[in-house]
Amino acid sequence: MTSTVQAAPAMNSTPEVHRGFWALGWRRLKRDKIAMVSLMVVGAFLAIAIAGWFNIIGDGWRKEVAVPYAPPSWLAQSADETLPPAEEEAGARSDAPIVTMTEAEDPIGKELAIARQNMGKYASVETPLRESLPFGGDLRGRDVIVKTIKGTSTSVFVGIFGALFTLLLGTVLGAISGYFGGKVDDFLNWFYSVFTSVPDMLLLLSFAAVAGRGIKTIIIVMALTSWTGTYRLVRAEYLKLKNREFVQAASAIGASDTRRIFVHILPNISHLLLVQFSLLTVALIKYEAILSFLGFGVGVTQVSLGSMLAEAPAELVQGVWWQMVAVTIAMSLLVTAFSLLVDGLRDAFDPKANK
Amino acid sequence: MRLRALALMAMLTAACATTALAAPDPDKVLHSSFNAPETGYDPAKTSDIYSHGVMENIFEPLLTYDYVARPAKLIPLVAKSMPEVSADGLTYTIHLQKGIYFADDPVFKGKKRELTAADQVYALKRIADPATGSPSNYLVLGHFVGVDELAEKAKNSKFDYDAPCEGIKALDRYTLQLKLKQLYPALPYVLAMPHTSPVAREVMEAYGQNSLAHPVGTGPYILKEWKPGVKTTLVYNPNFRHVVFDFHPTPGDKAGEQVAREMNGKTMPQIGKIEVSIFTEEQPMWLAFKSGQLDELYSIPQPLLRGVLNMDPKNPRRAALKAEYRKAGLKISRVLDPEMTYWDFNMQDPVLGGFSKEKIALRRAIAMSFDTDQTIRDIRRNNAVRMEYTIPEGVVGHNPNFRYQYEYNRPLANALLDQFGYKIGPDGYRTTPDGKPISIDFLGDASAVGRQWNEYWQEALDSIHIRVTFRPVTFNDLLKAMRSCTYGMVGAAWIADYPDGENFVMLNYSKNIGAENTACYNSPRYDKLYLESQKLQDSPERNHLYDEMNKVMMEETPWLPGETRFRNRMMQPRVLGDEVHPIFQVSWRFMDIQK
Repeated sequence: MTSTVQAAPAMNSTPEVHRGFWALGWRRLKRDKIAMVSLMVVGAFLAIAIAGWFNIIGDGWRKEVAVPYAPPSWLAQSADETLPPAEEEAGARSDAPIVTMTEAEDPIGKELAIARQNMGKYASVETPLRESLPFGGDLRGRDVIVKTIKGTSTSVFVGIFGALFTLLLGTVLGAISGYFGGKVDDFLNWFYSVFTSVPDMLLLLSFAAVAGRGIKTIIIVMALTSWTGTYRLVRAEYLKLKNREFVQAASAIGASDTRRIFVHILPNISHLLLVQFSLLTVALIKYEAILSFLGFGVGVTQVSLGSMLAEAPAELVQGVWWQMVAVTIAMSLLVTAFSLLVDGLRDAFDPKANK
Repeated sequence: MRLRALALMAMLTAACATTALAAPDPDKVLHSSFNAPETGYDPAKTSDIYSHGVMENIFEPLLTYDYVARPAKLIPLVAKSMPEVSADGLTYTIHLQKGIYFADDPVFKGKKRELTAADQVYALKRIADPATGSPSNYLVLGHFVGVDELAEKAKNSKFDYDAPCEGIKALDRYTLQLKLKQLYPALPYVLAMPHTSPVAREVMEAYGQNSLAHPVGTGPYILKEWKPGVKTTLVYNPNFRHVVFDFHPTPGDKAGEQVAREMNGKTMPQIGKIEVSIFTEEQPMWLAFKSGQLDELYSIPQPLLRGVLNMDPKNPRRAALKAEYRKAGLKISRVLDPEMTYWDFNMQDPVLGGFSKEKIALRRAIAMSFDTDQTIRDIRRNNAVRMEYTIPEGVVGHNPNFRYQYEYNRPLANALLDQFGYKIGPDGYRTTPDGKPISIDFLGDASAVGRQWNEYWQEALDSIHIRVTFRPVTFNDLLKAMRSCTYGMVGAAWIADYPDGENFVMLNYSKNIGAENTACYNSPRYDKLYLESQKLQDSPERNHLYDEMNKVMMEETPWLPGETRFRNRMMQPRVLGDEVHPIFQVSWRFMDIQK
């Protein structure tokens, strides 16, 4: 259906301009070195995240592979952190023979001896716990690197899907509000005012407290609380665009309201939505971390960057810093790269916003 | 020049100290801490360790423990010498020291009040008095001739303290006689507990229900100020008699020798004022200690252990302060508590209980599936050692060469269950030899730590294909279920009331089912040995009986032994003579502090 519209004489030049706009944007983006580096970093994170969703990497994060709080292998134990070599233990323990129950005294001694010969069928290979890990271990001896990868994957998942739903909600409501105006607009504006009158974090927390824990609920909660910015933006764009000639032309050839909203106007603000999407993703990754840190986030069988950070205070007083550092590196890299990319995207696709 | 002047000053003050007859320096203030609030300071009415910690310094029982002897040794305190026991072991005669005075109190109307045998008689009867509502009345009731009858009568009227009582009486002003209904080998230890400290009758009657806030004793300190649950301030008691420290530690006991070096020759007490603050949160307590606001830390909070101590992951006995604290001169006293933890199998449970071979095998397999070393490492953070005898270290009767432990071997546990016909059903879980399903009713407390234990037990029991359901309950319900034998398995702990093996071996005596015998263990073999041991004082014969009792328990498997935890007290460099005592809660009266 789109092709017929684009083939219509009145819209003759539109496809070329349209393609040209994106191509132009891409060219502008490519000139921005910072944005390109950020794009690569974000790409790498996305690859990790997607691999994590399909359990290709980070699947074994719950496996206890090392001793509790195993230190990073490259961290040489200083003399201050180790005990002097053990002295021979004094007296008592060694100078008398060990007394214990003998096999003859044991009422089930004979059966135990037989069982000992048959225990082979239950023998399992237990890998010994490692004393150190490449980037240390947590309380249960889980590898911090694997945990960080899985946590990043969860956080990116929550960020991206949360942003998608937020965008969907904000765009639909904003479009309806801006396009129809009147009573509908008044009502939605009132609704918007209610939501923005409550501080973001407070709103998020109250929704989260009601909804319980889990990745799905976080995504829903975030979509329900973060749609207002997108709504305002989209509403303004629709107010502006609905009276433009191309919309009137569409109306003249009998296009329905739905068609005008989604087929004629929406593509013209798609570049704004892309920028908005990236902004939201960054914001929601941060929100997820805060929620999980406060205990409203992912469930106990899941891990996210925020839930890892929540373990940090108890670890830091014990001098265990590696989990916090790993999360900090992952999180700041992701958020910084994403933010820089958003800047670049905005410069490239929304040049007007720059002026 | 300056140095010289200073030296002169020091000499002068030293001279002053001797003339001022042993009064401690009021400017020497000790700041100490507890991590839970106290109940109050009436010996008969309290039973928490924090109240006792303070009362140890205000009241003086007949007997006490040597501060540096290990294992803890009884010595006379208010008594002139150890009790004289009659040949049948039923009559104790105790002579009191003369010239011990109570601290001044308005009740005494400005007169000095000497401690007499009548005060001890009153204190013991007061514990039995139903109106007192003492949580420790079991120490007195059921033991002394004629006391139970008085207490029985007092249920309807007032307790008659003046009525003659054969069991507890003063022969003269300084002589006390106690007559027992049956043997009570623990009596000397009971007379060393703060609960039984002599108190002045006129004081208790004057303050009545308010006695918790008005402790008047003969000890080295008096209560200056008490804000319940917040702060307690003690100052030295000017009426306290002249006592000079003279400690004789066991040769080779480094901590004890240190105490002797620092304190011998000084008079008791050295510190003029003690301020005890209550910290219910661990972090603020630690920060207050670290910044020097506290002189003494009652115990290092468990979450901080790894941050404060370097520990040997293979040997929990080896631990030392981290360099940053060592360099700051902080000191630590780390000793095993006279306690043990263990897992009870309910010996009356239809599935787990019983003495037949197959039941023993089931319990043994469960015991073999649990990795105690792992939980010591993960849950206790290496701050505990395995319990290998039913009497812990530091308690008379402990045998360090006994190994009460079951090998951790899951394949063997599985093979053993196969051997006895506990077959794995189609659902992956074992059934009894006669084909009935097994499900262990595992009782636990609902705390976060309780959940942590459950995780390890779930894993252990899964590995031998035994189904388990966890039943988290409150502490009160836990006790109730343990005493009524209505559970499958449960974790239990016991800390010494007094440092004698008797206090531990009685945990498995069949007459104690419904009370301390929480495994509901009713073994004729064990009971016979226990009754024999009751007749003996500490001796190789009694130790041999204890070994035999441990073997019987190992064979019949009513318990899976757990661990014994360390207590870690920390002090600032200026604190002298401070050492953890296995029975005393605090050491303030034996300590000094450099200004």
